[in-house]
Amino acid sequence: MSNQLAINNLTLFRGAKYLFKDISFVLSSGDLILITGPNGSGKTTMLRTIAGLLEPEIGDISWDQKSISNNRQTYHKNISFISHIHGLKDSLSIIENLRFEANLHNYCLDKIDEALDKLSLQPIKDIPFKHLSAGQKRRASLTRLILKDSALWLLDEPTSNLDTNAHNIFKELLNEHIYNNGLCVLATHHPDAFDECKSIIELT
Amino acid sequence: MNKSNNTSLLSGFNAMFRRDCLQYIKNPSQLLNPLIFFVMITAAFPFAVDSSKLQLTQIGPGIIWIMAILSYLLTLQHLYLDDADDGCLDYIILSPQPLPLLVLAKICAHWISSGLPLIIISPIIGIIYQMQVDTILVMIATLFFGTFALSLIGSIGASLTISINNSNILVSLLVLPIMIPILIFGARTIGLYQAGTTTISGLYFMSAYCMFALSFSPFASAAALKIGSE
Repeated sequence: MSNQLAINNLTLFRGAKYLFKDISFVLSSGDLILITGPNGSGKTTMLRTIAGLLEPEIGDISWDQKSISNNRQTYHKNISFISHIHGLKDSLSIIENLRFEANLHNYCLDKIDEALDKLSLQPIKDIPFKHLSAGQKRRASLTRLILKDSALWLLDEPTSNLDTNAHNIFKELLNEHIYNNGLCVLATHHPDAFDECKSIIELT
Repeated sequence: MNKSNNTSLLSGFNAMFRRDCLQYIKNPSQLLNPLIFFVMITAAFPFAVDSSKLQLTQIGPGIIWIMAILSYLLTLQHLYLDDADDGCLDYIILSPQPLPLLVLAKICAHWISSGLPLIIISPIIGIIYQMQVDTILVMIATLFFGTFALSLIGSIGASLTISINNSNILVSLLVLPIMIPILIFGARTIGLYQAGTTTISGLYFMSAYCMFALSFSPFASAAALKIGSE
């Protein structure tokens, strides 16, 4: 099935200052769009807004020609959002965190093993999250992309702290998603690493 | 609503409840600190005042209830703030489960970790204050309804302040006035029982207050969390 994400004149303020203004783009199945810009330029805020976690002051976001503000539940079923903060509990192990997420989001529990295998997390799945390295934490966070079969990926710095091997695994996952008519909006400081993108939005 | 939807709702509630309980078990300080505070202060009072039986039985219910509320206030800040800080709150809001149901699961887990230990330890405090066994049972009944109501009311204050750093005092200021009826009826019900008067109306009021809080607290907290996470 073909999907479409349309962003129309998206504008957000922080106090009296524009964080970003009049951002518009259309993303169709098989498209990848990159958001770049210096620290504090609003990349994370834009992704959170597109995810429906923030209300834009001006502008509209629509999914399959329906505004997400009236259609939030259906929209959320179709997205996978990976924040720059991992969203996993420090005191719980990777497997405990993933079981919780699987039950909360109605993921298939069988997919947990597949996700752990793919991201080479099986040997460390029982270690408390707080004892993992930054790269291992990032890989654990990326398991959500395998657990949930969603059309739209919203990724905030997904490759930060990843080693070459994990970076390649992520690129494989992304390419497979795009090849299977998925959509992706990705915030990064390294746009050169994603040569298959449709366009780049540069925030200042 | 069909059966699969019910199962899904139940699985979301269970997942949130189990995760929070597991967290409290793995971070015992969150569970023990307020409990130790409650026990230490309530046990210290008899040393500071005239420890005759009459005096202790008169001041006991009030002290126990004041300390229960104060120790509860210590636990409220962490109810949602940890989820906001580590990014879990975003994923909870994005989940297909109704947010008020997940909030209720968190409140239940909070009561298990904060209210239930108080109830379990309260007979020892009752003995220190020279209460009779039947008075201790009445105290347990008031604590049961009262602490659950405290978790429900406290949830609103905690959710309203997730975007504010060091919000413990603010949470206390917000929720303390709404907790005062629980304090009055909790302490007076025990006191009246000791004086030989009927207590059932006090217990009715506390259970009604608890049900009233149950009817709106998960919805108010969920709305506040959505606004606070922006």
